[in-house]
Amino acid sequence: MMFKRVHKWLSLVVFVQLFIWLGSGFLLGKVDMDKAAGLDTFVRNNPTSFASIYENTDNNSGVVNKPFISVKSLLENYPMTSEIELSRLINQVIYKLKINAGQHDYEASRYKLVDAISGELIDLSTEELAPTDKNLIYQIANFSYKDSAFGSPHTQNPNPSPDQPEKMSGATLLYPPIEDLPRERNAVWQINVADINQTSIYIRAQTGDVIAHVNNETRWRDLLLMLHFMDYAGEGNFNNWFIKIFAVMTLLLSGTGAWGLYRLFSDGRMNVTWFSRHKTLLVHSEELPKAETLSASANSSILDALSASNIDIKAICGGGGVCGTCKFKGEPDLLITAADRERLTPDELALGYRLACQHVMKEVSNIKIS
Amino acid sequence: MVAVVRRYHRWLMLFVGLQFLIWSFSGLYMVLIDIHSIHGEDLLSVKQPVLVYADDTGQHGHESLAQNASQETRRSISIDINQVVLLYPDATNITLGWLGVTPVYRFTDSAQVMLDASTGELIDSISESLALELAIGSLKESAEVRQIELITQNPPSEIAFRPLPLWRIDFVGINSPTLYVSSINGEIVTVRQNTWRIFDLLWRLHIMDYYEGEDINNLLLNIFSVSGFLAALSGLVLLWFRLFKNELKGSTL
Repeated sequence: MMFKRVHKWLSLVVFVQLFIWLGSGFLLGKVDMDKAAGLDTFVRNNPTSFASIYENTDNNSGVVNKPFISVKSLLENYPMTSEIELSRLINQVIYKLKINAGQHDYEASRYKLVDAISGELIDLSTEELAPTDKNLIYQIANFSYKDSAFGSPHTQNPNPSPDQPEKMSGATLLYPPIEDLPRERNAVWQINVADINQTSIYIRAQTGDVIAHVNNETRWRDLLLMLHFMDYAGEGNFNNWFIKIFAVMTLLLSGTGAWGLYRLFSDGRMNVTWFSRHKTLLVHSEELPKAETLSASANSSILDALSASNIDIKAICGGGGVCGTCKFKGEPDLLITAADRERLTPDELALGYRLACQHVMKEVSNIKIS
Repeated sequence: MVAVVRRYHRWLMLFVGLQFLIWSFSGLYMVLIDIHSIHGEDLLSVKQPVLVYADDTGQHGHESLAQNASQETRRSISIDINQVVLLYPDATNITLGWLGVTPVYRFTDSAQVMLDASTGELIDSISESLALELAIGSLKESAEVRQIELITQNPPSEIAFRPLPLWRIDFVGINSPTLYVSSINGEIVTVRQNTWRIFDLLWRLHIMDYYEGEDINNLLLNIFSVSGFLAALSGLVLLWFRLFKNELKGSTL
């Protein structure tokens, strides 16, 4: 009977989280994952080639074969570089220099941005940005955003307006931990968009990369994940000690429950044959004027058969085999179950007393109840 | 009343109980084993050697001293990025990084292009020996190769949608690690090992999507989570009776 006690106390500890798991698991299935990933608004614009830059530089001063700072001089200025990327940042051509990075983008890393033509360092990781750089942040955000609500996907604009985009505001430099981005370990710029989903656009400050469009669907998904993973510390993963301990307890809870079910079947107290023969039973009781005959399925418990025939028998726990109140007297050689042994005295057992919830109709033909 | 609830608890659990065991077991596995190790990140080295230009005198400060041994085999850059732009005017997002010990330019022109940054030669595919070198070089600790094969069609399910062709390199080891190396650009595409394979199987069992392993809104799962909720609720009622009904306070269960 040990497993029943374990089952009870584990359920007391685990039940709240068990409902959270079942509920959040169910609701996660209902989340629009594409929308939560920001795909409704996030556009990845096709990068443009660098050819036009060459043409532009050619115009006035004859042939300019090397408009971009050479790799050699880049490496002289930034000797710790392990990777160089030549790309576009709105109207500028830039070098993105990788100094140090982990296996995931969200890990703490070090990058430098350099203007590929002037060679000037572009530093967006400071709160006190020059107005032009602040504007650059807005342009990057705007360039990545299409407003699906109005069905007007953003088309690539070679000369974005120098003004702050109308619906965007509140550019703020945030440091980890960042509420909307639990795993991020780098400083990011947050720009809020006045759209129906309360989109926030996040730009990694060191690289100028747009890393996420977070909207209300994203926040709902992340809340459900946080609950499902018991990630109450907001670390963005499911390897925390809370959930490890609860997972062990839940496995024990399921295991003890499965064991209990197995015992019910092996004792013949539960049976999946739907159409079993009926069996008659003669019931004697001081409460009854005369012995009563009842008929019930051979596999139903005596307790259930008595209740179905409106014969009163006390059973406080409802047939769990734990209260010991549904006593009857049968033949002394009746099988003794674990619950019988736990709840009844050896003398009672010897006299043929058993618990009605622990025995089925086919075992008996004549019983006495008080 | 209690009898009815107890009967519901038993019969509902008879239906969903096995899935409860599967949920708890698979969940336990997933939370116990660090997700980064499942992804094979602890197998791979994160060393990022610095780029060196050819006519550098070799005086590279403390960095080259620290990496002296491996620095010798590593090659230096002779081709400037401006030459690449002139040769490939349609190139976008040109990166200069490492392919093993060779500095290379990678970019997309009309297709993916890779140029040796020290000789300017086009590298149009990764040979078997280079794939082996890249795979072994990316590991933190040395390991013995069991077999290598080029996958051009019918990819194993464990690499899903990743573009082919790929080199598959199996290593000897209790965890049977496998590295997949792109035969186009030489990148380590992914790492698979037994802990991942078990995780993947248990994940499918957890979300009850046995074929695709990705739909967390399938009918079976929904039926089981709703009936699981009811089964757990009936258990909660039983618990409440057990704890707060005076007659039962002293009893076990």
